[in-house]
Amino acid sequence: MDNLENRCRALAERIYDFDTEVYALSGSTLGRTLISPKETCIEDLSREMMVRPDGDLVTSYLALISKMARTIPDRKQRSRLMSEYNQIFNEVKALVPEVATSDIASSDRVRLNPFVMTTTRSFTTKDRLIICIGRSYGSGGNDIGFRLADRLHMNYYDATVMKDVMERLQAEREAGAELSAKNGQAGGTPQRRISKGISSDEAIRQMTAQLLEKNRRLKGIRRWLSNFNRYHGLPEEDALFFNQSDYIAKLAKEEDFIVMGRCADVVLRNARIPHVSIFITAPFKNRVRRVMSMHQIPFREAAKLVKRMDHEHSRVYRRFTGYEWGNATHYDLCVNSASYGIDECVDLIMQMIKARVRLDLNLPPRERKAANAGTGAGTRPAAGSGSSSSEGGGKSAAEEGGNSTAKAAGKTAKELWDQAKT
Amino acid sequence: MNTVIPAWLCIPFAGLLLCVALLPLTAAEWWERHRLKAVIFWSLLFAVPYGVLYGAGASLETVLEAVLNDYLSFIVMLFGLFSVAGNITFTGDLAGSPFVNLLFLTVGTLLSSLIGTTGSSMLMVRPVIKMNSWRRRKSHIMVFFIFLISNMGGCLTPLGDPPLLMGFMRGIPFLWSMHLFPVLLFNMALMLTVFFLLDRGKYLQDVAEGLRPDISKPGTELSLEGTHNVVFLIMIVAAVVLSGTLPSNPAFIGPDGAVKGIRVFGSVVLTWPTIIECVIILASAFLSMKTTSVRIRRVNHFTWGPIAEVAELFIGIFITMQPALMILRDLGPGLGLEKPAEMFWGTGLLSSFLDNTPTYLVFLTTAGTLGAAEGLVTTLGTVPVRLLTAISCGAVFMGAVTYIGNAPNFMVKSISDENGIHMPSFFGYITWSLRFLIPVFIIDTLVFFL
Repeated sequence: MDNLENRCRALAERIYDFDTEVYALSGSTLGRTLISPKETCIEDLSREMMVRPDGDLVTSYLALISKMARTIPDRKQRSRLMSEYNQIFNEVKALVPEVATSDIASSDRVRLNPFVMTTTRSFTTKDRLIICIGRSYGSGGNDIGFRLADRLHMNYYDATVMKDVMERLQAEREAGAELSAKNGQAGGTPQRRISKGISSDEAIRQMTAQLLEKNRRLKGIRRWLSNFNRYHGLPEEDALFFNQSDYIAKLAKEEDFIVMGRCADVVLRNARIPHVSIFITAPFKNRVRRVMSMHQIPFREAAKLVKRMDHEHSRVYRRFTGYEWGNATHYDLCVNSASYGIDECVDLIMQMIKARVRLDLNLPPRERKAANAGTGAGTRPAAGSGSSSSEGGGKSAAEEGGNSTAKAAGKTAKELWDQAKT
Repeated sequence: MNTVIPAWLCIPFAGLLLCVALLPLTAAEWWERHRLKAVIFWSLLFAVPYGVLYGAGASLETVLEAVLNDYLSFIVMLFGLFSVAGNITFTGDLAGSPFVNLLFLTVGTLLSSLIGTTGSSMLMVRPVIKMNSWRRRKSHIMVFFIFLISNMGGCLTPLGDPPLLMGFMRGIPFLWSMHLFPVLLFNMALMLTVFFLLDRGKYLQDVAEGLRPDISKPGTELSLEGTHNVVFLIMIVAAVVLSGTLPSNPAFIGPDGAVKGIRVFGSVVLTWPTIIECVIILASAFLSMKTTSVRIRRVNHFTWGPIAEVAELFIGIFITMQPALMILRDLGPGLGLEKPAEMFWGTGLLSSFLDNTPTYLVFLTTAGTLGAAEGLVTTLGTVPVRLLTAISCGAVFMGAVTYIGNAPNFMVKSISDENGIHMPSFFGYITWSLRFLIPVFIIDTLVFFL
């Protein structure tokens, strides 16, 4: 099987490279056949070839690439690539009698799950620890995530932090572009601006602030037109999700963190980045009771709020992932917080992480430091530090302190709903 | 010819259609290499038995008539628009979202009545492909592109679709087709709503798989290169209009009342208006190619493949469909179709497989001979407005039912195929029509033609 897997992967790599070459030689700008990132394409193709080498996906990709190859203007190159195509096609065909009939699709999930130690590629301390927590409203998921981040000294990202970061990053990009356009028009350079007493960083910062303020003030059709231009014709919600997904995937290569919601589990799965996905929920009545006591609102209002928030979470999750929100089969671990309480939930998850992912946490602090010195794990950015902080990233659990949800006490359900929607 | 020709002579036409439908699926490589041979085979299979039945002269005359008077202007116009539109490139970073696609389909549909369905299709097809290049599921966009831009949109003026130009030549006022605007608007509303919902679903499936457009650049920039080619585009549209108006000009009418031209063989005459049209179009294409940078064609992924494929297939289709058209001409007036709904479906269904221009003329002639007291006065007689509306809509709309129903359909498919879009097969496309177009036509019948 290993041999077959290796051959499928090698063949998938050849198909990807073949498509890249065909597209380059065709000179087209209208789009290539294999559009996902290289690693994703290769994994998809090799997985498909291990199950159905003669299936629709592989054959239609090959047919489309060959069609494009036939349009290459240079005859020699065309004939060389067509021979290459024939070779690939024959090799793919030769796989048909070899493939196993059993379904191996779940191996994909296993590979991305750091809890599992029996995979071909086990999780190491060099890998980033990313915990994605989905939660139903009122289940204490946010508190669990926050305390977990505190215990693990990791950055913590929730909707509010993420929204601020995304808005600022977008405004920074726009400010940078606007500034360079202005400098270009005036025939000036960043250096000239510095000589006038304003550094380019400072100028970008000022313009970012102005843009943020301006964008927040826009309303109605002007806001719609501005967003149409900013987001290349995409709906604002979608563009923000795309930017946020890119940011999460980028962050996952740089630091350990905990992210609440944001469909991060599916974003990371699609980006082939190992992570732990957890869903925290509790019975409806328990959640309503918690929301009542937290926000000091009557039962009816709390129940309504919980239902609305669940509905909104479900809608967003389905829209961007195609999956059913809260369906246990999509997560590595599901916890009923009503059975354990917030602290016990944190302990439970910590135990799993210590047992499976971060064995170094079992050691006393001094020994841990020494053990991590060689692996790089000890040098991971702790809460409030690291690369994200420099970009204004996640909030540190230690910095934040206290229960963030408790601060909301006294607000009306409508206010809470509006806040939650953001 | 006074007797009705035997129906079995339509077998080569059916055979060719089956080849077009099945061989790309079952023997794609073989079909790619031997397509022209297959076309010649089926064309001979019609011409030889026809020659045996009615004489070699009659057979040659029929083939020449089809090639010189129908196919030549058809393929030259297609070639011209294909070449000129391939020299205009739309660069921009709009992402193919459901709303943006909806916007482009709406604009393209309305543009079809100004520069013709072929012109609009060729102009819009590459930008639409480019915008959606980040998506995996996009064949449905091209299918609706064919439905709307390559067909329905052409119903508002004689510039839109050749059948309407024929109607204009028979005395129907130029702007009369604007009467079809409510029907077009109604159909656009239905089709675009369905498209938006379908596209939204497919878009979200793509997003769920982690696909996303590159929106890292702040702001959207759109630009057109090769815009001087718009002049050549206008020249081509003008040539098409000339070919429709010159035959009624006294300077082009001979003493026998027929349009003047070069006698090729027997009664086959290559008329001067056709020659003028072809010369203007070929000159436009030539100038366009000469005055535009190769770079633009390269970024447009311009190749001769799609037009070559259409040229090869359609010469066979034009030749082998002659018996079907003759039967239609003979039997059409006697079919007893007198009601708008009957005319709509009769003209439409035949236009789906045959050339919609002669089909339109047969039904228009039939309507003109019904002896209506009120209606539009044409050279073919007085045609009731409701009947004319039904015939026009049938001919224009139902060209979308198959890939061969209208010239740009196949071109759009061919260009899409070359650019990484897995288009449905011939029958696959018909199932799309059955699912989305036919229900709309049934609603049209209930609302407008009963």
